[in-house]
Amino acid sequence: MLMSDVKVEGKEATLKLEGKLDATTAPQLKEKLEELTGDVTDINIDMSDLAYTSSAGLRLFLQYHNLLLKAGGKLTLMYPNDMIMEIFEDTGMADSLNIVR
Amino acid sequence: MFKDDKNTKVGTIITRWLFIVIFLALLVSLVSIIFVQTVYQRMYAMDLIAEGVDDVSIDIDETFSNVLRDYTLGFADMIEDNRNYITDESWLVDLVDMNSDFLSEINIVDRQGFIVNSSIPEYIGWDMSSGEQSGEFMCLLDGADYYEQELRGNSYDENIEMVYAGAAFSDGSGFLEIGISKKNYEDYLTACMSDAVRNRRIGINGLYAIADKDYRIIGSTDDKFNGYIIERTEILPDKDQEPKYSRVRMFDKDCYVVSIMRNNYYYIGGFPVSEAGRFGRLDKILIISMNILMLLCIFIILSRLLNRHVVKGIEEINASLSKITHGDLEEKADVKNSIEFAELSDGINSTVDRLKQMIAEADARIDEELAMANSIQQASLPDCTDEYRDNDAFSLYASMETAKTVGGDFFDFYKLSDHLLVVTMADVSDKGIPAAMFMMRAKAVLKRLAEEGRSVEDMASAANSELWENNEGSMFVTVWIGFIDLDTGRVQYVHAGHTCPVLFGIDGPVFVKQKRQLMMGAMPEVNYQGQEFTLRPGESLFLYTDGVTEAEGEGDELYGNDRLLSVIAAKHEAYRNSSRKDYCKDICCSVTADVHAFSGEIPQSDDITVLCVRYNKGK
Repeated sequence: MLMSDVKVEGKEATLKLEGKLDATTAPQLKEKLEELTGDVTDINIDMSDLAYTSSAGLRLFLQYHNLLLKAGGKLTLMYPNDMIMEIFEDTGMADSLNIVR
Repeated sequence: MFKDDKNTKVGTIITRWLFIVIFLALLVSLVSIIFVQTVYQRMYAMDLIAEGVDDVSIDIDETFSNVLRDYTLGFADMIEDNRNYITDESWLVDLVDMNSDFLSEINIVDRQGFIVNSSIPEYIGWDMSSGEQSGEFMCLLDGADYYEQELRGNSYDENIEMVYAGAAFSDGSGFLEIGISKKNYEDYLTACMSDAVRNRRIGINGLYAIADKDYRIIGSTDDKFNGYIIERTEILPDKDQEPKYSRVRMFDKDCYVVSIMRNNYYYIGGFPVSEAGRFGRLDKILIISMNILMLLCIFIILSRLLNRHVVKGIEEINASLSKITHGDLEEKADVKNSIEFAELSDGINSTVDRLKQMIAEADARIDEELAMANSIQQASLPDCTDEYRDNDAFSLYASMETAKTVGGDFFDFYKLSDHLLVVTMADVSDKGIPAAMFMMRAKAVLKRLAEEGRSVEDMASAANSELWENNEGSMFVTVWIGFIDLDTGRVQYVHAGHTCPVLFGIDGPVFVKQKRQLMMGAMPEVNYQGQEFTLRPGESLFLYTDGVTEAEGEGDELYGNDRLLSVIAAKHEAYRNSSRKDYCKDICCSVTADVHAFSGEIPQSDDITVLCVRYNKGK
């Protein structure tokens, strides 16, 4: 997985993921999110170039969804591909997460 | 001067400071060399000038003395050869007249010390022994050949200043005395002086000058200065014989100047500082370049030594430490080029050894605890050593193989009444002790809520809320929980983000794929919807966790759904014409065994949990 284009504007950060998000790459994303949550409340994750996410990725999304919500902000998942969207729907996460198609 | 911080290498710091220290040492030595050289050069120049000035004055005195002596002895000889001059007054007067530019007076003194003849008539009959000045000449009657005085007032009249010299007659009949008037004396000296210093130099460009008591230069190395009046009289001494040293601009050059006073004349020598500087110039260049060379050598040798013996050692130690920090506890620090480094290396090695020992001890303790935790966890699951059969209503088998000794998976089954069987398959989103503890909690919550007699969707929603409490999404659990009506075979279930069960037994195996909802504990409020299907007698339900379908194979691929279905289909086929004893156990075991076969040498990364329940009613 590649992480690129981390843009911080005020209380909002946008980052773009590429490739696969799995058990080996999820810790990198977690580290980045941990780093960001100190400064921003809203995080947007651009998933347009993300091919696949494993349960480790799902877990991260859920955790940070809850974490940011509690801090008065939100996590927005942008442009997931059909496969990832299907995973969100299969796991019932589609209803809970903020997803922009 | 330099910023030394954690980003600066020790070698760089040492080299910098070494450079500064060496540079300062160089500066100090250069300054002292220049200072000593300058002082020495000044002293040397002054000595040279003083010596020269003294020589000049002595030369002049000697020139006068020699002339005076020649005159005196010459006249004495002349008179001895011609005795009648002794009484011839007019001859003496003529003699003085003829030499009047030098000679002022001639007296002839007899054996008794009385002047018997003189060019000055008043002096005739004067008793030489009667005055102090004239008395000194009495030595010529006691055997001395020649006697000379400096300029002074004579005994006849203190105000008449004269220079006298006398020579004894060889027959002992008396002596001749001649006198030089002050004016003649000074005229002579003046003439001598300009000759004595003309073209006479100190070194190459050093000059002499002689000035009279009115500070007028009457003679100098270069005639063009003659007549010039010295304005800076502070360079001149106040008293006779005491040289005065100074440094002034003189003769258009910055000069060291020494002046002395002799016979009321100032003798001055000036020597250009620039020329004095040449005395030690080569020495200075040589000493300074040797200094620079030596300090440069010291600098290079010291920094080489430091680098070889200290910096390199530190770097090697750091490299070893870095490997150790990154987990390579087999790394040995091996820098032995000095006692200190050997001790440091040994210290690091023994620390690492001790660390390894402690880790091993901790590992052993943790292993022991994990084994205990595993047995507690296994004990919390329903006992399933053998297939469970319930009055032919259903048979059931389940097993769990944990990946990390304790796992996050669990299964459960219990009857709420004679007609109602509850089966649960769940997977906590983590592994290890925390997952196991969360699993125990989830299992207890689900069972308690089920026993409260709620509907499956109700209890699922309540369980979610309870699991959210004090957890808030940091852990969650995927659950498939079904209430099976043993009379009708109707299954009411909630599917909370878990893997889809396999239904098989009459038709070929298929996944029960209806609406999947969010896992439990991930969100504060989830409204679970109950779903249902009906088991026909003879049909079975296979529940599992993703440890089965996502088991990794040797070729990097995952076990997958298709392989699962085909194993189940094959096993079911094998039972087509035999008794159903241990049917469920066999299904479970063959799936588990196939997963292990698929993974081969690859270590199990997730818990493998399976459950098979066969609905037997009516069969």
